[in-house]
Amino acid sequence: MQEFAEKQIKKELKIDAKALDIPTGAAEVFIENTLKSVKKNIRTKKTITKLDLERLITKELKKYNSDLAYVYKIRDKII
Amino acid sequence: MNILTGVGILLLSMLIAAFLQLKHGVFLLFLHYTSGKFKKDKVSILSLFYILGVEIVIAIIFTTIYYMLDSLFAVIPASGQTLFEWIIAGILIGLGFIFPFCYFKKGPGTKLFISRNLASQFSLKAKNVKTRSDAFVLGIVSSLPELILIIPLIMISIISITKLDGTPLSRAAIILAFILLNVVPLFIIQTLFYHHYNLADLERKREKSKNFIRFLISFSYISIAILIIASGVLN
Repeated sequence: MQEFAEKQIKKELKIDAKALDIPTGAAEVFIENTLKSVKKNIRTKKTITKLDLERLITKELKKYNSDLAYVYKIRDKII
Repeated sequence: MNILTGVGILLLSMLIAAFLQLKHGVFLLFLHYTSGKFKKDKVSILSLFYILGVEIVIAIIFTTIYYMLDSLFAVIPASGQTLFEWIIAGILIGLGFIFPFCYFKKGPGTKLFISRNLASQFSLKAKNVKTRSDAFVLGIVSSLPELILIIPLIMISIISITKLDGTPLSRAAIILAFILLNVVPLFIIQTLFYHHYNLADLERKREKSKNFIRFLISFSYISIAILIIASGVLN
């Protein structure tokens, strides 16, 4: 079992956003909002699978930027 | 072996070697993460070192096998050489039939045949590249798992080169072309990256062309085998 590593996810998403040429300010807002609503969604659950968490983050990110959501979704499936 | 057969084998071998996907996938990840961390100048230098790493591996493997086969064929009779060619043809037919089922894993994305542990190691290394030597080593290491698919092609290409009655200079030119064409797709990816294509765009394209690559490489393996068999039968 792992804890919800918010800092790590935020750091990785920021690198992805910079590589995708998303302006830093906008990216920070996307990421903050995404993680806020993910936390809200999982608040009532004691445990959540890694896959479900990734699915939730992807779904939320898609609302702001489809490229960032796609990169987050496929990052383990490129090679 | 006539000129057409020899050139056909060489071109198809070069095509397969250039289209194998592991080095492309790792390069995409590497470009994505480095462009997320460093300035453009540093990214372009690092990517050149990655490409150099890939190039060095193929050059070393090609020249080593060339030397080994040259020494071997100097001592074994012509019938032994034909048997050797037929064995390679058999291996290529096997690879051609296995390739569509085993190269890409099932499911979304472009997951390759390598173990998931190895894939995540590559991903981690691509994420943590900071220096030129890191990029160079990543280039070398990412070429190694696909050698099993390239070595039979290199062997048959060398046999074709030695059987085509060319001057040493023309042979050297063919060897150089084989080695250089292997990294042309990497330069194309790099150029696209600098022209505002990002990982999402390129990966979408890769995912779309997954079945085409499967078909193309499998068809090329089998075509090379048919060319070898046909030239053996006609002789």
